Amino acid sequence: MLFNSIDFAIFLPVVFVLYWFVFKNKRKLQNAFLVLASYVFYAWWDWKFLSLIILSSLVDYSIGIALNQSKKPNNRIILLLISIFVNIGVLGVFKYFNFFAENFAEAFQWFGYPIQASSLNLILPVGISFYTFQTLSYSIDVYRGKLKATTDYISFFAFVSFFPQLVAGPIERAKNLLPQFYKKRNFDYEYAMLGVIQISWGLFKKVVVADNCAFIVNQIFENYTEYSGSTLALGAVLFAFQIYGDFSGYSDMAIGTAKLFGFKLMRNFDFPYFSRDIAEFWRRWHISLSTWFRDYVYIPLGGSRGNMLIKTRNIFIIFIVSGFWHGANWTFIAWGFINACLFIPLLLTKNNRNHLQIVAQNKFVPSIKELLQIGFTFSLTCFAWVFFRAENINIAFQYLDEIFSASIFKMPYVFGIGIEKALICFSFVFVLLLVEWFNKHQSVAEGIQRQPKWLRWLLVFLLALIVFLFGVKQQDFIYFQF
Amino acid sequence: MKKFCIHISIFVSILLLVVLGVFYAADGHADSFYEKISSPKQKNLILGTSKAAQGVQPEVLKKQLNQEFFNFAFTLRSSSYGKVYLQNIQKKLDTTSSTSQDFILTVDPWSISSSTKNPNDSLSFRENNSFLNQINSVTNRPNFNYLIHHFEHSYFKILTKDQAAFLHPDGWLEVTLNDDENDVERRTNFNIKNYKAKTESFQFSEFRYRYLLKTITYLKQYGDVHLVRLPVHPDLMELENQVIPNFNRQLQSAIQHANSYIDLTTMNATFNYIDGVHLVKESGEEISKIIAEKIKAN
Repeated sequence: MLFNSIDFAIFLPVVFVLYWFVFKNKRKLQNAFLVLASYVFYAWWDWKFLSLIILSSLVDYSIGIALNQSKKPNNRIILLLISIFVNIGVLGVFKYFNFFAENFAEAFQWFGYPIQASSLNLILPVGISFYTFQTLSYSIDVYRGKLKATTDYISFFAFVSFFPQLVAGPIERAKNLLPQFYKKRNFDYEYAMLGVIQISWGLFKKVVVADNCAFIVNQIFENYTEYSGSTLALGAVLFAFQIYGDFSGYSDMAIGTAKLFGFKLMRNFDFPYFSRDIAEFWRRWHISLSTWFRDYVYIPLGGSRGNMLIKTRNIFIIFIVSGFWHGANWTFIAWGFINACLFIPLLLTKNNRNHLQIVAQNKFVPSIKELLQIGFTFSLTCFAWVFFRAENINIAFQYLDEIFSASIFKMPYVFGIGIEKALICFSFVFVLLLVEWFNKHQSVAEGIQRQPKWLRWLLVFLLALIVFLFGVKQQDFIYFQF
Repeated sequence: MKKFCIHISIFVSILLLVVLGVFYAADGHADSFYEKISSPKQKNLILGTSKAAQGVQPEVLKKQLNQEFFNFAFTLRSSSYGKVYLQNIQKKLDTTSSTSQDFILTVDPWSISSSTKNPNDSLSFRENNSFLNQINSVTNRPNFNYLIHHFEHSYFKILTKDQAAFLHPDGWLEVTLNDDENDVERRTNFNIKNYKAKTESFQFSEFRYRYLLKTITYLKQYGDVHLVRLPVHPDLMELENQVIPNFNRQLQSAIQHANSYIDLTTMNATFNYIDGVHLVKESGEEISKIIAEKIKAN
């Protein structure tokens, strides 16, 4: 079920009313109902793949209990390995099997031993990368002794399948989300209202900004050989806003929806395009995934301790694995590699933690230096996005080749693609940047929440109206494919 | 919590009222189809693809023949002859009239061909994914199903008055494009390239042809059926001849089955086109007069 669908517009109020009115004050019933609602939410897409969520939940719930009871280190490590094997195994089969099979076959052919690659005709289950990482975090934290294993299976199943963040995150840590299922939730008008505002803002980012950008971006990327370098550069810039609007919009809707049920999910985006270097960008982009890799891959590898070689190795590993997490395609690996290359100089010169606070603190406008830093970082990001968006590596190189040619000085051809879409797209990207800039010390939803009541309702109404009038209908979320 | 629910209910109600208001405001400026699938049942129909949608003007026919016509032609993708189009024609036709009705069925090689590997594989026909195959009604106003699921623009377009295209209440799609010679040539060349590519995959479909005959049979229960082949740019005519050589001979049984056949492709060079395929307004007016005269003469 998509957040931007009529189905969800009916599903959400029904679940909300039953949750607060029928199961009020009965925490366990509320949790059980959330499990049921989450399964319905997921089954709307394909009920058959529900079995994978249930399998993942059962395995990690059992392993958690077994870890709690087991004192021998060897047994504990075996239990953890079982959890990793099952979770990554399922992910590997569904997401990466064909990639490895095809690439092995190509490699053999390259060495002069042609073999036939056998591929599996599998559909990638929506959200598998997200809930797999979420359940894994639970087993690892229990193994490390950072979290006590739960015996409340309903809470655990609700934690794994919680519908607002089930299919595209934020990837929650058990330490943050699981305890919330143990506590009684009380309805708070202001908190729920904040949720409504956040959903509205997320919808705006998704259906107005991202989906209108998508129209132009798709045209440009699908016909890249026909356009000048300037048009291709614009395509890359608009893709940056498309993917930001799409994914951060989803996250906002997820976080806002969770608030309606009395839950607090972690922040996933923190104005990444106002970053002054790549390190800052990665602290602000897809935070739940970046911190997951930091906590469960980077730090165990040694993190930034050790000599230059180890530091560089760790950075490459984390960025390439992160890229590969997005999809079984060399383009994502290249995207991760490029980001690692951009990050490493900052780490090695100890400049990776220069910008911990948001730009232009307590200032209305940034300084020229800050503006140039933002522009430069954004350009690097767009450069890397070309690999993320392109069908394959060759196309990405051809695309960039045209950008870095004399045709970059030609007038971009955009209005011919669709004047209505182009105008909507540019106008609302501008609105997005403006609103985010003025709210950069908080979240946009909090900024609206702080306004007088009449004004906040008016702003939410305005957002809903813009979504209705300028939104594109029921487009999939990019991150669903990951 | 009650307070929250009340506030949200009021909010949603106001929003729904705005949505309803916008949907009720949808008219011929909204897009190229909405008027056609939201007007009441009609007696005299003009059928075919976009050539007919833009080229045959009901107002001109009305003046000549003293009866109201409705242009129920869509596009090659939606309204090629077949099951989907016939079902929608049946939904649109007012069968309660006591007087004899007139039906203009425009034909060309494209509308009785298919680009599927097997030209008779109706399960893979292009119109199966078209809105015409997915909406239940072609007479409801507002047509919620269409507006919610198949309207391809932003709803803001409903509130603006698009100057380039206007769908008249009688179903005629009036298109006003730049008539600069270079632009017309650019558009024509684009279509020649586009249709040339189509000739590679399009082939005569026995299935579609049978449905053309079925459509004629169905309509003849209520009046006279006139087959019309509209003119087209000479270069595109050549491409049409590649798809179905000896078109008139191929269509023989349909021509005999209909009450009349008006082939206007002998006058291809006489008319002007906005893009090689679709007639300019003035040429469409002339064509409509000619069709009316021929029908009258019958």
